[in-house]
Amino acid sequence: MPYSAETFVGLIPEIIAAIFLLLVLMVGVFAERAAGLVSGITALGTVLIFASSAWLLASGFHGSFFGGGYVVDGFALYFKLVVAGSAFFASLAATRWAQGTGDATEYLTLILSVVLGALLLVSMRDLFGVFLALELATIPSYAMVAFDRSRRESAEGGMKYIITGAVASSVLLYGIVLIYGASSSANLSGVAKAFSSGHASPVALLGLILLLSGFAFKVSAAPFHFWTPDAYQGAPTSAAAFLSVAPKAATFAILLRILVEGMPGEARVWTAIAAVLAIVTMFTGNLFALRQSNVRRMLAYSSVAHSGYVLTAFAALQGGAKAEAVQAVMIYSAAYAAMNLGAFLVIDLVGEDTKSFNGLIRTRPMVAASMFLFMAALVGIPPLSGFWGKLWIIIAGTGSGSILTYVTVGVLVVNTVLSVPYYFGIVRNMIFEEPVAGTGETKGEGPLKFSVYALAIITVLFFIIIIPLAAVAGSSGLL
Amino acid sequence: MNTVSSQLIIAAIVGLPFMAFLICVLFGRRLKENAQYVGTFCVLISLVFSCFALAYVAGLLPGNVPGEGSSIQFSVHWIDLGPGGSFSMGVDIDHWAAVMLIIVCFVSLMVQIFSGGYMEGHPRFAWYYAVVSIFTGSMLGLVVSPNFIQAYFFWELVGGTSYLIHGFYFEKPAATYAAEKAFIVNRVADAALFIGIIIFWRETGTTSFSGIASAAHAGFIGSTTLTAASLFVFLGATGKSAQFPLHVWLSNAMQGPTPLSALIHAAAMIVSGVYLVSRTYNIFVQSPTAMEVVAIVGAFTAFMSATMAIAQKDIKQIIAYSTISQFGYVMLGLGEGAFTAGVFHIYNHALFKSLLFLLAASLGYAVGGSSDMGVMGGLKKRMPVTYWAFVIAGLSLAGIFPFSGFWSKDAIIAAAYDEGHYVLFALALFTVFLTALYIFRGIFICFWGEPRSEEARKAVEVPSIMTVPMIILAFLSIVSGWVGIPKGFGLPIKDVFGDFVQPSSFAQKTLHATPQNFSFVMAGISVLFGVIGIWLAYTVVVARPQWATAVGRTFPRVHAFLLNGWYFDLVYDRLFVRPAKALGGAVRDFDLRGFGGLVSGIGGAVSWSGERLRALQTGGVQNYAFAVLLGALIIAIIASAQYSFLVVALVVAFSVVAAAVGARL
Repeated sequence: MPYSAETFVGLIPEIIAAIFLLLVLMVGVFAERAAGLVSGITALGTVLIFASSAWLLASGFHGSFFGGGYVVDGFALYFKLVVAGSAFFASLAATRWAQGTGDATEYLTLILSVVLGALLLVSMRDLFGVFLALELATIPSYAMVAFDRSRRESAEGGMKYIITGAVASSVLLYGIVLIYGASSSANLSGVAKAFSSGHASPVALLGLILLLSGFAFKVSAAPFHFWTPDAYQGAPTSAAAFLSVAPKAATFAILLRILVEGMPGEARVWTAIAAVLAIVTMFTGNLFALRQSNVRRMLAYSSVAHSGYVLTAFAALQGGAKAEAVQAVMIYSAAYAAMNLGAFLVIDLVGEDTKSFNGLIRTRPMVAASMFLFMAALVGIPPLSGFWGKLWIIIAGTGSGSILTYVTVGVLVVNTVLSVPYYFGIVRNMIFEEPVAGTGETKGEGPLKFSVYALAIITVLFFIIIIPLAAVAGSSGLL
Repeated sequence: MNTVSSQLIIAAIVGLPFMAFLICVLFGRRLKENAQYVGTFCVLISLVFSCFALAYVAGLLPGNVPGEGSSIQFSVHWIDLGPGGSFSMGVDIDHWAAVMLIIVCFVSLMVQIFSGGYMEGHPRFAWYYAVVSIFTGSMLGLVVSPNFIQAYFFWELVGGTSYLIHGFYFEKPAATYAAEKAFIVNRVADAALFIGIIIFWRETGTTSFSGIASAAHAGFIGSTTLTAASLFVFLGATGKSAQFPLHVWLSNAMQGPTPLSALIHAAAMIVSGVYLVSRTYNIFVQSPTAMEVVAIVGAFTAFMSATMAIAQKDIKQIIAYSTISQFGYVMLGLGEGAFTAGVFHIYNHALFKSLLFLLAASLGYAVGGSSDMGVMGGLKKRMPVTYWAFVIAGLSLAGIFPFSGFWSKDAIIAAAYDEGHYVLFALALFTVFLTALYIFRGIFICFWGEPRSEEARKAVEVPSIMTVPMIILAFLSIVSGWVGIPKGFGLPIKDVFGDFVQPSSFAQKTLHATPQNFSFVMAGISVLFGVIGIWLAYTVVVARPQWATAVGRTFPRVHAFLLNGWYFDLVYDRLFVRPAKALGGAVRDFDLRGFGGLVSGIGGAVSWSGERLRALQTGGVQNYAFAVLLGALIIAIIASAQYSFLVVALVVAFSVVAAAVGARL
């Protein structure tokens, strides 16, 4: 029997997302000017998604549907929590901006579409399903980047994002097709057979290469990252905040699933690729971020660097530390979601020029303190969230037994130090510079401030949150 | 230590200052000047509880067998790493840690009482007490940490909160640079420490200090790896303790309130480095190379920064350099295997150094905020308490018998001699002379002669809320060393400190340490060097000031060399800072110009299309797309390095695709 009650139980988060997606659209049609209402509905939807995913996770739900092409396990549910959580804060943060433009309905619909795509994505065990879900998450994000019609950068960023994204998608799809051709199955278990021998056919390898290239674009790993700074700088801040966190976490998750479940036999090849990509990405991200004068652009490059850190965990997926490497990706995604979302939302509050942060400690001390915490967390200072992600990556990397991975971990440590000056630059401006005019509070930023403070608290209390996270990550079902 | 109540008491030692921090932050506006009572009260309770801990480990509590104290150990499970192991949070207080707890709490208490007067009327009064409290709490947490991960936590917390101290007066522009420098130098050191921790973790599967030591002893770590990891940990310690080559941050980081400098230098941040080495001593002793490096770096740092201190014009700078120098002594003692002498010096140093900074603060308070010696002079009669306390602290620092610094410093110097390291011994001995010279040069300039400014002429003694802690500390700077009078000295008293704080029996066995004998000849020589230093200081400042001017005029380069701290800043600036900035700038320009530069070098077809697109205000897109394909190509090359038959086909295929896409766009 293809469909059962269990199928629907396992799909509750996605069903909720779809219902709320339609609901927001409908409400928008009948109440055109109700920006507060639709963002409230969106936030409620994300809370329900979060709660249902948490419930499924707590009840130990495990199921495989649609001929094994769709799986609900601890790993998938964990990432659904990350996606839903960041969508919640992003939708709250979007309220003020969406009210200002009057396009709240469209904007929030796009957010929910990305959420739906990301929720589906992390559960896919079928390569074509992966492609569909990935595009479902990506195509609305093009629109989100280009959404701000009042700024030309937005259109430019969206344009660049779409064109490079189209190239990347075609590369990815071509890779999937080649893998399908080589293994005559799109299901990951079938793919695993073709890659099991350790001597995969050249066609399959070519497929792997193209697949990795496509994914490298989606997670903005260098040298596929060029869209990132333009897109994040152009996009509305809340969109950049959301896109840098939720779809990225989901993309990392599905890449991890594909590699671990579908291609364990060729781990030697893809860990080497991941290691080199990680090294290039970390250096690119951090060096480019060093002298940026636009905080959003700086954070965009910083997000590139953080992709490199996560890729280091991918490089560690070999030897005796596989389980820790999987945990590292999971924990890093959650930690990164909290601190990066927070940092972007502070930009939404304060402004994107480094100068607008001048003297913030005097004009708005609580916001400045939150930003201080986010910056320190992004550097990786304990006990804040970023430290835990890096710790897990380093633990995994040093246990992998591969020289290249050791080098990558060394590069990661070097890059952590390299990243200090630019994160620190914000802190310096906030504390030591004279305040500039016009950084005071504006109307309707209550939800935004709530998000910032909540994320700051999560960032600080991560040393407690890490306990359940590590427990879930330790029994994720992947590996 | 099994009962829950006593465990709570121990946990409260660390927890109370954090509580004070929260109260001062949350209710600071309402508390205003009352914040001082919150901070002072919490640290006072912590001090009482620390005394309880000390009594417990000394076996003095009823219920223990007398004299049979044990260390306090308990922990809770923290994070499960799955197959990799787990982390725990806990407390491990041995004899030395118990003493250290008292030092930290006591110095913090003195600083907080003193600050009640010093900071009076400052708009950020409550914030000041919040900073002191969290700083004290972080240090206490570090002191009791039983494992590297927890220690690293509090280590970073100490470093992070010190940033709040350096940046306290954010109105001063110099504070920015100092805070930034301190932060970045410490990040380098922390990264090194972290590497060391991870190596230990990977080799032994544990982060606990004792677990690593026994695993290393059992041969789980190769000797090279052990040395490497120990040196990484040591490099981390040099960052916090401002030892060569990472000492550069400290002399700039004097912008915070002066009483906070007392806390940093005497009992908190800068002590944390040497404390970590003493805490992980069982690991260090297993690597003779690491021990030797510790000793050499210590002796060299002691000498180097003492020379720098001679030429300074600011009293706080002199004291700051003296901290670097004194912790050089501690490192030397630890590296030579004289554990007790080394930590004894930490203990003595805590008292006289906190006193010195409080005195500098009171000088600054009296002359209107400056610590430049150029505005002082002739304060002997105007500020008698400060003057005499300063003389006592100076004598103690210079190691003059019978002041406290004498006992520990002499033991360290003697250890270098006994170990046969005559070069280090000579450096250490010469540093005694330099120490006496620089500190008494400062004292004579500040207190003797004629006032050099209007403020100094009008200066009066500071209020009693400030003099009382000074008098207490001055008294202790005389007598604190008397608890560690060695047996060979001939007095019929016990060497309490030496009997109580001993290296572990494991360390003693590994080092084949023989008990040190007190040598009157050695003590006489070191005191003589100190007295010569004081005499020379008197001569060049008071008796024959023209000599100093003459020397300065004859060797201007030497003077500038010392004044500028051997030009370390300049060298580091040229070596690291400027290249980094240049790289960042180059990369930024590259970013601004887009990817165009590279691509136009690759092919005319693409740059042609670039020209067309630039007119459309979307210049660079095709280059980005091209970069995607180029990246795929790079990946392909990496992947097929082992499948060489693929390489040619891929390169051709992708070049065609890339050219096609470029042309299309």
